[in-house]
Amino acid sequence: MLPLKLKICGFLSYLHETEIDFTKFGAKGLYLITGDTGAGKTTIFDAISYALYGKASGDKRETRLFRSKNAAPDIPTYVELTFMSKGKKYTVRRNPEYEQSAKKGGGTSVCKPKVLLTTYDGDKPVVEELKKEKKSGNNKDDDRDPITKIVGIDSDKFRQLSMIAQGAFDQVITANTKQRTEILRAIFNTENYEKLQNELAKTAENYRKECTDLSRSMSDKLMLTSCQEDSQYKEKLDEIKSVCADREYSLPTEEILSLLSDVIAEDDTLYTDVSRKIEEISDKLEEKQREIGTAEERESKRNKYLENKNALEAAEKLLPEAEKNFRAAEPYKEQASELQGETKLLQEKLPLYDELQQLVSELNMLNKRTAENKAETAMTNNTLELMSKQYAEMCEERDRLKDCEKELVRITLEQKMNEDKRTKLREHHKLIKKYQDSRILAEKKKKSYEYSRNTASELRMEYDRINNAYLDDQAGYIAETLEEGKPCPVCGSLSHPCRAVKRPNAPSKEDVDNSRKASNAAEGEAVKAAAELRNINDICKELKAETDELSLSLLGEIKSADELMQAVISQGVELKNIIDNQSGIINGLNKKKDRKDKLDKSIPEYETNINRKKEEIVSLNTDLAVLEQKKNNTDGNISKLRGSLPFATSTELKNRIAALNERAASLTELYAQAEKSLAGCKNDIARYKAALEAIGEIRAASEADYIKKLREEAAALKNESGRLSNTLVEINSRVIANNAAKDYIIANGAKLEELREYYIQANELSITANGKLTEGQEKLNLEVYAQAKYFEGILALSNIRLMKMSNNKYEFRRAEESLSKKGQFGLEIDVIDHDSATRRSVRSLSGGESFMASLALALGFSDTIQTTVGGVQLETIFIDEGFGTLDGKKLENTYGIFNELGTDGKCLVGIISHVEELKKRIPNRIIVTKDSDGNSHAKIETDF
Amino acid sequence: MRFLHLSDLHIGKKINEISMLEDQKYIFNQITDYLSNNNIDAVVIAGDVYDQSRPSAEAMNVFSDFIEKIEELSLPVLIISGNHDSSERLSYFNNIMKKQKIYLGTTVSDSVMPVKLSDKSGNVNFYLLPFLRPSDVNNAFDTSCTTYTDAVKAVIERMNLDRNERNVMVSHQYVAGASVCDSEILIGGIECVDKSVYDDFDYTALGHLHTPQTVGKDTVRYCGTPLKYSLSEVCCPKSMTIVTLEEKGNVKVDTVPLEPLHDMRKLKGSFSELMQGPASDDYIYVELTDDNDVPFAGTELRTVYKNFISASYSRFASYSYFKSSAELGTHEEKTPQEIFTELFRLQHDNRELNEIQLRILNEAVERAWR
Repeated sequence: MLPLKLKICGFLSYLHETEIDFTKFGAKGLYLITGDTGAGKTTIFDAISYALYGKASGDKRETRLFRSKNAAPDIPTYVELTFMSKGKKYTVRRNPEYEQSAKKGGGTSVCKPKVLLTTYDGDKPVVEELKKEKKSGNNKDDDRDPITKIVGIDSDKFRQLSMIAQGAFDQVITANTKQRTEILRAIFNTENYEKLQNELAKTAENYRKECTDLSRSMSDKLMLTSCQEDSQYKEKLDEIKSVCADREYSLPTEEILSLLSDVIAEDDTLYTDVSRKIEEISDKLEEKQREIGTAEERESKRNKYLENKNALEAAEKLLPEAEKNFRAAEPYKEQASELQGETKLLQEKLPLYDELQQLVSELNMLNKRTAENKAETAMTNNTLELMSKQYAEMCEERDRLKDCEKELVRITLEQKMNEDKRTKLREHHKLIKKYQDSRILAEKKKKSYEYSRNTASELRMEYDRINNAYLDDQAGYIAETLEEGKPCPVCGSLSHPCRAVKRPNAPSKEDVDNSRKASNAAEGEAVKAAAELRNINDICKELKAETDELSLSLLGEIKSADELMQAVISQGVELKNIIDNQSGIINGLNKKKDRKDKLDKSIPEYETNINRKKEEIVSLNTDLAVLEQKKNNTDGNISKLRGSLPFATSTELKNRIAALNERAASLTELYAQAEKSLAGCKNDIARYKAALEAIGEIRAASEADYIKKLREEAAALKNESGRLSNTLVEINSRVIANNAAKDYIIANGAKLEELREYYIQANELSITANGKLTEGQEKLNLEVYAQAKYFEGILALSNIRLMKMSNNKYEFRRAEESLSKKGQFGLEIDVIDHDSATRRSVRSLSGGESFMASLALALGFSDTIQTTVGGVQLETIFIDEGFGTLDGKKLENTYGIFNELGTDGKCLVGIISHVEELKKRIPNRIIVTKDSDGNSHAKIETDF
Repeated sequence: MRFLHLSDLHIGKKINEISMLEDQKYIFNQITDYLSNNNIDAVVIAGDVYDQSRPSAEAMNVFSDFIEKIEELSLPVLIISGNHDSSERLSYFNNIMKKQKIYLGTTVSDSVMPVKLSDKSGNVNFYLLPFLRPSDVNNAFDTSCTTYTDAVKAVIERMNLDRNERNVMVSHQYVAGASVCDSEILIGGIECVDKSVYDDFDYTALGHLHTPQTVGKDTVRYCGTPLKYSLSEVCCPKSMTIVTLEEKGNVKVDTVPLEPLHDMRKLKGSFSELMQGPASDDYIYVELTDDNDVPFAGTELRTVYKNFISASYSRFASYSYFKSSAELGTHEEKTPQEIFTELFRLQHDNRELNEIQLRILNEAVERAWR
């Protein structure tokens, strides 16, 4: 892990973003972080440690306290470290939980702790947020947090191997075997040795378990053995079994086997004995059973005989009674047949009832139809009445409307005439209007003529004036053109003493011409106007003549145009009214005509309907008569039939028949019963008599007691037999168990011995490998032993530096004897003091010497790690203080070491120190200062 | 003109806590005696006057006595600060000292103005260039030099050398090609200045390296420390350098040996041998040939050799004592079974594994290494 760039913001005393670019120091060599106490030097290491692992460098600081105390809410807290590991570049950015200013609104919000890991794919950064994952606890490797995997070691080892923190450097040398083991395991991959230890332990444990299990099962089997209560071996067996009660098998196998054999043999003999006894009993039992059988037979025969005898006597007693009953029942038979004849007769009368029923229903139907007929007739009569009334009305109406047609024609004609009149009036109107218009136009023309005439005369006057003026001024004009000595065009004089003076506003020839033009134009206008006026006047005259004619014809006298106009208009209006009236009347008459036509059509129809209805009534009456006739007939038939029947209804007849049948049946039955019982009685008697004969001779007395006694004896024998059988079973099971135990022991005895042997051997291996020997040897486990070689190598490397630093005084050795005999041992360190030629524990070094030793060891570790091919690569070491404990020569020597590191060292060593001398010796520096606000600043200086 | 070229006095140095002040006083007296008895025109001290940037009071007194004695002889003294000196402290009372012809070259910017001394042949320009790093030059002249060579070149360019006159450079740098010894503290090749930069000077009085030597040509020279200060210097005797400048182009360099109060020697032998003596007050480095550590060897030896410095064991010197790192880290390819067997033997008095155990072990190994 080689740091490239570190950015700190809001972290402990680094309030504002501070960037430290380690690449300025190169990848190897030495740099110094210097500054006053409390300036913030260790914080740089804390930041690196925090960025990687979320923890500070020492144990002294809690992560929550990382946020700068002075930080305003808008200043974030984070540490971003860019580093190289195994040739790849990474950037990790981590921030703790803190209150920051909320993005929206005011106030603060909690910023969650976050880790962002950036890997670089070529030059492209790929950012990934790492979440806290639950540890499953099984597979340690994959559980490690990703950054730990990248760096190769977890925070503990990092602390031990590459950071020697303030005040904690002696942990490097005084670490005990347990802690060293872990580090060496990480570096040299000695996990397999640990695995081997575990495997051996497991093997031993397995063997032990197998032994225990087997011995347990053997003991269990032995516990199941037994022998007879009075056996000679009982005591011994019990003894053995009590030993086995703890389920540990550790008894002499031979003895047990022979004992068991003896017991089994004993049981065998017993078994045979008992078997024999059982057989004997069984024979006896058989005989007894036979005896019992015969006796029983005889007894049962006797019983049967007595039984039959009693039955016979009983049956003979019953006989006379049966005979009496039979005689009494004899007449019943006849009576029954009589009854049956009667019944038959009655049966024949049944169908007649059906007939009767039918007739009745016919009669009902006829009644119904009669009623219907009557109802219909009534209804039809009503309808007929109505229709006749209406017909009369319709005819009346028609008469009334007769004349309307004539009227209509007349009035239509009148209206037409009026229309013609109206048209003529319109023409008159047009004429009058024309006349009026022309009169107006004439006026207008007259006026315009007058105007134009006036204009013309005015212009003429003007022209005259101008002309005159002009002419008057000609002299002046000419005078203007006069030149002395030249003849005047007018007078020819050569001298012109007194020239004519032009008037100031004398008009020019132009003016004159213009005026003349205007005047002529105006005259032309006037002439035109006069002509027009004349025209109009003529037209007017004509029209007047016409209108006067009209006036005469209409009004009888000549009136003015206006009056005439008015008369025409009023006439026109009058006519219009009359016409409208006539239109209205015409409409009404048209309507009436239509109605008449309709009536003409419908009246004949109505007549036909009325006639039809009359016919209907007639037919209905005919039907009614027929129905009456039928009714009478049916009535007669019904009464006739009724007379011939005995009962009113068929049901009554049926009942009677049933009753008679019943009586007949019961009589028959009584007779049959009596007959049967008599026969039965006689049979019984015969039977019993025969049985008695068959049985023949019997014993006089009962043998029951005798039989009972025999049975008891048999039972006793059976019990005995049963008991003996149980004993047999017992013996058998005992033998089986004993045999089983014997076989088992034979089969497994050897195995148990073998297993025991294996266990002992494996156990020895296991405790050796795991360092658990008890007899005073060192508690040295296999992994540690394997690591010891490596460790010695590291110590040898460290010794080179330690000897240099201590002026050939001190050397490391791996301790061969532990101080306390507790705990694992094997990786502790002794120092040889060459000066005093002693060897003592490393803990006996003084403060300054410890620092030197720690430094030497740390560098030794670092060198070794560089050369081992493992997952761990430490390209950097940090050393926090400690140099103050070195003096004079030791410090000198240490510089020597550092110079070496600077030139051909294999990694980048960062040193925090405030020792003055170091500042001069080490050219690469980070100067850390704290300003008055308490904020730290870091600046890189390299001078070479 | 003849001047004395000294450098790397390291006044106040302690070797293994033993103060060398007495020896330094002694040697300074030798030097000033030589000065008073010989015809020397100037003294040049080419840096590392003190051993520490904050020298002790005694050290300062020793130096001031030394300078006083030289001053009594009315000789100009030209001093530059070295990497061990604090240039600020050294230039204490700078201007007053100048009046007494004690010239202190402690800043890069001042170095471009030479101290002019003269003899019958004319002027001799002494350019006093203190120990510099490229950053010092960059700060002074606003250049952007990255190497020491460029830095020195940049300063020399600004000196406007008059090639017709004799120019002497006094400089305190590590010139490439020179040999180093234990008492120098260097940062390796980065510091090196190429010797060509001094080509234009008639003589370059160098300081910084402790062994008297020339670099390239005779006129570019380290005069070395006046005393032996480390184990690697015990072999070569110390001297002071006398430079004689005739007319331009004629430079002669001589050395005058220096006899210290106590020599520094190395003794090698077994402890018992060395305890025989002879006793001596010299500074002794002891190399013990014993195979085993001798308890408190140092204390014992100090009873015979009063100024015993330190002892080391011969067997430490050979590098094979410390196995090379390349060999470590491999378990010489032992199988796990072999390693276990070793452990077993160790814990059980060399008993071997029996068959059953071998079988169990092999099976377990197979499972563990799956």
